[in-house]
Amino acid sequence: MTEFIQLVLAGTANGCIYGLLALALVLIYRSTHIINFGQGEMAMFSTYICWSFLNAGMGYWVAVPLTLILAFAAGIAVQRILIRPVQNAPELTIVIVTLGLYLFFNSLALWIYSGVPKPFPLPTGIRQASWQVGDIFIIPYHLFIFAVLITLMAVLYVLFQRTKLGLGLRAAAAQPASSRLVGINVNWMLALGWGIAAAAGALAGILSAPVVQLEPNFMATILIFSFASATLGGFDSPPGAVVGGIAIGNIVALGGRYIEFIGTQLDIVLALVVIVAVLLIRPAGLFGRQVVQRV
Amino acid sequence: MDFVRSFDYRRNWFFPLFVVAGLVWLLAEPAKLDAIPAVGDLIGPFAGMAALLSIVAIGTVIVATALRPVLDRGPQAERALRWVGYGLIIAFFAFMPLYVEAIPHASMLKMTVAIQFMMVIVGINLLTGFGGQISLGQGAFFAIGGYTLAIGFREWDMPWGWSLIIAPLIAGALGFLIGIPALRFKGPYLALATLSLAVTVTPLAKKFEEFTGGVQGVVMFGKLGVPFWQDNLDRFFYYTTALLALLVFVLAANLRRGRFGRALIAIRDNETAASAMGVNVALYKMTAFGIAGAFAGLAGALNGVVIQFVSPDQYSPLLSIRFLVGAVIGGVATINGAIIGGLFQQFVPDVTVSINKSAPDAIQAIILIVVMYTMRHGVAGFLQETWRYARSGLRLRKPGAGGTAIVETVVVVEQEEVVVVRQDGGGSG
Amino acid sequence: MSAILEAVNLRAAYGDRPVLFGIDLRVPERGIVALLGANGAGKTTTLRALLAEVRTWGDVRYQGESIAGKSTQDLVRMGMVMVPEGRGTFTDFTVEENLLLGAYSRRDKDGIRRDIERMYGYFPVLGQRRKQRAGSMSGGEQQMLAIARALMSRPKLLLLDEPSLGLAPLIVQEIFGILTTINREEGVSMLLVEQDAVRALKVATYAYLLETGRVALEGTADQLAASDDVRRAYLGY
Ligand SMILES: Nc1ncnc2c1ncn2[C@@H]1O[C@H](COP(=O)(O)OP(=O)(O)OP(=O)(O)O)[C@@H](O)[C@H]1O
Ligand SMILES: [Mg+2]
Repeated sequence: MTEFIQLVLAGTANGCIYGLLALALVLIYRSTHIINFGQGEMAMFSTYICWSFLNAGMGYWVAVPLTLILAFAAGIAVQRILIRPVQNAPELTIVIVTLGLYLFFNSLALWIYSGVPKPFPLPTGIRQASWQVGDIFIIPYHLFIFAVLITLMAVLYVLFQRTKLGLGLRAAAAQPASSRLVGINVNWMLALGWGIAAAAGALAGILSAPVVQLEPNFMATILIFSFASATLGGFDSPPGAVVGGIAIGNIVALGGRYIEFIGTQLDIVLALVVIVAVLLIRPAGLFGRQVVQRV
Repeated sequence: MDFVRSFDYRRNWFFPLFVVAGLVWLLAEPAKLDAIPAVGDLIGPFAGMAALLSIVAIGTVIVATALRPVLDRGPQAERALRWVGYGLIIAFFAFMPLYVEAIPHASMLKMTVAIQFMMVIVGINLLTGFGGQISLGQGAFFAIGGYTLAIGFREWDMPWGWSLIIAPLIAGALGFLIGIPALRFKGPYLALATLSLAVTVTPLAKKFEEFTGGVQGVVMFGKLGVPFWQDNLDRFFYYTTALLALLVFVLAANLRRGRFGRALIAIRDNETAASAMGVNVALYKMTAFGIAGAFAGLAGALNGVVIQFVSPDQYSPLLSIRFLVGAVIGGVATINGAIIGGLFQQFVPDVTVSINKSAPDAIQAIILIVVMYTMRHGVAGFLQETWRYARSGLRLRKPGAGGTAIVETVVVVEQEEVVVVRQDGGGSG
Repeated sequence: MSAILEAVNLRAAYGDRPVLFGIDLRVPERGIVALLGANGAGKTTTLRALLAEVRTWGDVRYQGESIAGKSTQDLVRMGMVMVPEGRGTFTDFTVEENLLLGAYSRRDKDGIRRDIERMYGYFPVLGQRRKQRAGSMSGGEQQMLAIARALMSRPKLLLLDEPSLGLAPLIVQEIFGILTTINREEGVSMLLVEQDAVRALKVATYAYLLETGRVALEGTADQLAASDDVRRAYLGY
C-alpha cells in the first residue's frame, strides 16, 4: 500500500508535467487545428535558454519568468512567420512544417549545447530532502510542481473565461470568420494562442529538467506521453489535457511497476496503447466534444 | 523572351532567388564566404542545392523550348520523350560503377542505400501522396524487414534471399492490418497514431532480447554468401537492390495509373463522394498501407543485407520522419519524386555532416520548411510545373492558360478553409 | 443627400478567379439600398469586397474617406458591419456572450451593458434566452441574434446578407419591421442583399440588380419594381 501511494505521488508529479505540455498542444489544436509535433522541442530549447541564464549566474526566480516571456514571444514569432503562411494548406503540409520545427530545434540544441546532459537546479527555496509522513516520503518538489500547475490553471481560467481578451481568444479559435466580422484581429489571437502554448510548454520543460536530465532529446518521451494525455483528455479541452496528463502519469507509474511485461523499458508502449485505444473507442477523448466529422 | 515576361513572379518569387543562390554558389570561392563565422559554412550547401535546382529548372525550360517543334506534333511525341527520360534514368543507375567514383561523396554502398530509401519513399508516395494518408511510421516496416532478416539468420540460419520474399509479405500483411485502425483516424491524428508505431520499435526490439540480440543487435559480417561477384559484394548488392527497385517502381507506376490509383485519388480528394460512387474506401486504404508497408519491408531487409548488421538504434522515430521528409522534398504526389527524395536523404546528410554532426538535421529542417512554402509539390512537382509553364508560356503571352492548374489549387485551398474550420475528433463521433 | 458609402469600379476575385467586374454603388446617409440578383450573381462577394474580406480593386469611399488598404477589423471599428449569410452565430457561446462579442470593438463598459438591455428590448426572445447556448436556438432566433450582434458595435452602415433566408414569413416580417425601425430611429444606413425582391423593394429606397458580377439595372425601388425584367425574373408576376 505504501508503495502504491508512493507511486501515485510520483506519477501525479510526472503527470502534471505531461499535462502542462498537453495543455500547450491543446491550446494550439483548439485554435488552429494543428497538432504541433514541434511543441516538445520548442519546450526543450526554452529549457536550454533558461539553463544558459542560470549558468550565467542569474537567479532561478529571475531566469524562469524571463524564459517564459521569451518563449511566449518565440511562440508568437513561429506562428506569424512559419505557420500562418500554411494555415490553410492541406494537413500534410502543416504536419510537415511542424515536423520541420521538431528537427530544427532538436538539431539546433544539439549543435549549440552538445549532447552532454546538463545539471538543472531545483528552484531556490525548495529543499531536496523529502518529508516523511508515516511510511510515505513526500518530495517537496513534487508538491511544487503540483502547485504551479494549479496556479497556471487558475490563471488561464480567469484569462479565458473572465476577460475580454479571453472571449476574443475563444471566439477566434472557435469561429474565425465570424470573429473577423465583429472586429477581432483573428490572426493576432491565433498568434497569442501559440505564444501562451509555447510558454506553457517551456514551463513543462523547466519543471521536468531537474528530474530527468537536460539533454536535447529529453522532451521526446515527454512529448509522446503528452500526446497520450491530450488524446485521453480530448484535444479540444484544456482541463481535459491536465486531467489526462495526471491519468497518464499514474498509468505509466503503476503500469511499469505492476505489469511485469512493461517494466521500465516499455512504459512508452503503455502511452501508445492509450492513444490508440482512445482514438478507437472515443476519438474525442474524455472531455472533448463529440463532433460529427464534416467532410 | 516570352517565357521571362509571362512568368508568374508573384506566385513563383522564389525562382529568381534560386538563380541568385546559384550565383552565390559560383562566386562563393572568390568572395570568401566561408570566412563568415558559422553562417559561411551553411551558405555553401544551401546555395549549392539551390544552384543545382535552378540549373535543372533552366535545363527543363531549355529542353522544352528546344524540343518544341517535336512536342507540338502531338501526344505521342510527349510520350516518346517521357520514355527517353525513363531510359536515361535507368541508364544512369545501370552504368553506375563506371562513374560512381567521379560523383563527390558517392560510393556503390551509398548509392545502394539511397535506392533502398527510394523504395520506401515510393510506398509513401502511394500512401500519402495519392491516398492522402499521412504515415510517420514507415520506419517500423523498415525495421520489420531488417529484423526478418536478422532473426531468420540468427535463429534458423535462413539464407538472406528468403528474407527478400518473407519481409515484404510480413510487413505488407502488418501494414494491411494497421490500415484497419487507421480507417478511423484523419489527418494529424493519423500522423500521431503512426508516429506511435515508429516510437515503439526501438524499445520493443530491445525488450525481446532473446530474438533480436537486444542493444548489441545482430552482426552478420561476412556471413551472407552471394552466388557471384564474391570479390565485389558492393556491386552485387547494388544490382540486386537496383533490380528490385526497378520492379517496385514499375509496380507503383502501374498501380498509380490504373484503377487502384484512380480510386486512391478519389478517396484522397473526397472520401464521401468516393464511397458514394461505390469505391470500397476501407479496402483501398488498407491495401495502400499494405503496399507501402511491403515496399518498406523489402527495403529494410535489403538494408540489413547491405549493412550486414541490424540493431534497435538504427530504427529510431527519426528514421520514419526522414522517410516522410524525403518523400515530401521529392514530391509526394509523384512517383519520380522518390528518386530525388532518396538521393536527397542519402547525400545531403552526408555532405553536411562535415559542418557539424547536427547540421544535417538542421539543414534538412530549413530546406523542408522552405520547400513547403515554395514548392508544395516537391522538387518533382516544381519541375513538372516548370515544364508545363515553359510549354504553355511559350505559346501564350498571358499567364492565363499556363496558370489553370495553379488557379485550380487556389480554389481548392479556399474551399479547404471552410472544411478545416471545425474538424474535431479523429473519426466520426 | 450625401453618401455614406460610394464604390466606383469595384472588382473582386477569389484567388485568381474574378467574380466582380466593376460595380458602381452608392448608399446614401440614413438610406436603405437593396442589392438584388440571382444565385451566384456576386451579392455576397460585393459585401465581402466592401469589408476587405476578398481580394479587391477599385475605389471605395466610406464617410467620404477612401478605405483602400483598411482591414476588416478597421472597418468594423469604423462602423461598417456585416450580418453575414448564414448568420455567423458563435454557436458554442451564450446569447449574452454573442452580444458581448458584437461589441468587441468598443471600450465603454457601461454603454455596452445598456446596449445589451436595449437589444433585449428590440428582441425579447433573446432576453429570455440570455444564458442559452446560441447554437441551440432556432434559425429565426439566430437571425435576430445576428442583427442584434451587429447592432452592438454601434454601426453606421449595416451590410445585411439575406436576413430572410429560410425563415417563416411572419418572422421575416418581424425582422424587417425591426430593421426599418432601427433605420428610422437610429439613422443606421443599410445595404440589404435579398432574394425576396418584393420585400426588399418595399423597405429600400434605391436598388441595384446584379448579374454575373456586373450591375445590370439600377434605379429607385419603385422604378425597379415596375421594370419588366425585374418583375419577370425576380418578382414572379
Ligand atoms: N470562397 C469562394 N471561392 C471561390 N469562388 C467563390 C467563393 N465564394 C463564391 N464564389 C463564386 O463567386 C460567385 C459569386 O458568389 P456569391 O456568393 O457572391 O453569390 P451570391 O450572389 O451571394 O449568391 P447567393 O444568392 O447564392 O448567395 C459564384 O460564382 C461563386 O461560385
Ligand atoms: Mg450570397
